[in-house]
Amino acid sequence: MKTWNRIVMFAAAAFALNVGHAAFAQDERYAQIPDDAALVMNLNLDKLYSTETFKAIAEAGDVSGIRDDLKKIPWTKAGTLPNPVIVYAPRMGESYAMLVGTDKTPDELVNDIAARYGKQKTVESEKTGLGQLITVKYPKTDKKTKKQILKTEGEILYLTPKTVAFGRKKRPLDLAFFAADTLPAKEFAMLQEAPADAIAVGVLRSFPIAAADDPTGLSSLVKSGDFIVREYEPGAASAVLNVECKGEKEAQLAARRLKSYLQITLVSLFSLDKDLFKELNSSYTTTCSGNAMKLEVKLPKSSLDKVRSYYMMQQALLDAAETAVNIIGAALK
Amino acid sequence: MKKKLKIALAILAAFIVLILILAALVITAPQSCPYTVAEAEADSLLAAEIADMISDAIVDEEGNIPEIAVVTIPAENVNALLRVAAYRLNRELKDEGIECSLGWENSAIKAVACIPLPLSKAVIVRGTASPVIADGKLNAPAKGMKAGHLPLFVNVVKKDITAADIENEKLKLAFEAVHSLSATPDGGLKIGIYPAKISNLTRVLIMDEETKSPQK
Repeated sequence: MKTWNRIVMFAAAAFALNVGHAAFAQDERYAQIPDDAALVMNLNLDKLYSTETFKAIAEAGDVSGIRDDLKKIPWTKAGTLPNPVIVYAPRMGESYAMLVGTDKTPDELVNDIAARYGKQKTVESEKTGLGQLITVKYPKTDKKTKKQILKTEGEILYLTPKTVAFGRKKRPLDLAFFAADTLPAKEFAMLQEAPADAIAVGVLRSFPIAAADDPTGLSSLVKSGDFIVREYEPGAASAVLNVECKGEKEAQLAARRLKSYLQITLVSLFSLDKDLFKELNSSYTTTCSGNAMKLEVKLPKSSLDKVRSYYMMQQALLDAAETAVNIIGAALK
Repeated sequence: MKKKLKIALAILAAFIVLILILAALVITAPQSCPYTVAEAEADSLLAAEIADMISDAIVDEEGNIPEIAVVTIPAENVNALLRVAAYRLNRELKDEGIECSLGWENSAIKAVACIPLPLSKAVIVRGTASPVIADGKLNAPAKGMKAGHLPLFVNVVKKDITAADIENEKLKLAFEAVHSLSATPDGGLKIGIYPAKISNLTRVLIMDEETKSPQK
């Protein structure tokens, strides 16, 4: 019996190790992060689009743009949409880089993109010092010359056989960024070990905005940190941000700054519904302990549903205003 | 006939001399606006403090949003904010070679712009303006306007600007969110804000971002 137990235990351990190895192999993206990276974030798009409430909130920001652009490329053989690893660095200003996993070779990807779009898009593939680079272009008529030109819509750089850097029209690839040395993957263990209910997990190696461009003043206070946003109950979200500051005084100032910006943001977004503003403004707390500062946010489903209704009402108002402007514009022509 | 020609030539010569005098008064050597990254970083910190002042004003102790929030910003913070704004503007204007500096001195905005000309020459335009907003009207009379050494007797800012005069929608909404603006006796800036109207501006800014986004 003991022998059987051992065999079963050994088999279980081997299986677990294999699964672990497979999971790590899939996440070879974390071994491709350049040493200039300040903020690395794992975004769980499936979770974010799992409920109407989260979806509506995601639509209000840049996330929907990321998802829409990812959907344009047939990344996997199974037709699934990969979750991106998003990397911010001060050198990128307001832009960011995106790392995506694929199980297709460059040739397969080129063929599949060509098959999906036919003559609508041109796909080019070239070898670079960093890896195979696939460029997707679309034809456009130049306003000045009236001639057809090809504009870059997407860039896919194979950093490893299964990891690519994905650049888009308005956020092109910064090749010099990827040419730099990479960081040890263990720095991002938190991202790899993210729980299943995580919507977004991030590791902050330093503040991602250059001090001279930082309107929050946090760049001179914050050293490092991490954050996690989770769906702690169906349709409800919580967020925890842990930050290590340069000193005790800096931690207190960072808490003050963060609270100021949260308050201004909430007034900016929700001042037309004062009750909702009050509810949201009391949903977060900041605490300091030595050099550490912690921000905790808890938003029950009822609050998020109100945010969604408010956003949709605002969107409806915006759409109505836009329609009215278009009608008046057309009438005046 | 000869006399007429002489007069015409004399007028032409006088005209050329006048143009040369004006050019000598207006055109000078280019002047850069010396402002280092370290200064921009230090000013960014001071500018960021304004957020704390606004945050304290737009929500009262009970957590309610007042109808009008009044913020008094010390001169050094206003100055830092303007200097940082100029630093970022200069980066955008780098290709054109235009350099500008902004500052807050004696309760007025002091602006200097260096517009490059060929042959290592430039026109340097300077001026100050003291903005006041009251009763929905902006008044910012410009003073000491000069192009090089030549005084300009023009007021670039129209008197009594109302929201209806502003064509840019974002600026218009920003203007409508301000109840009042005036200098304080100690050289600072006092701003009255309608917090409820800030969301109108935010909505448009969000919509603008969504429109700018390539995938929409």
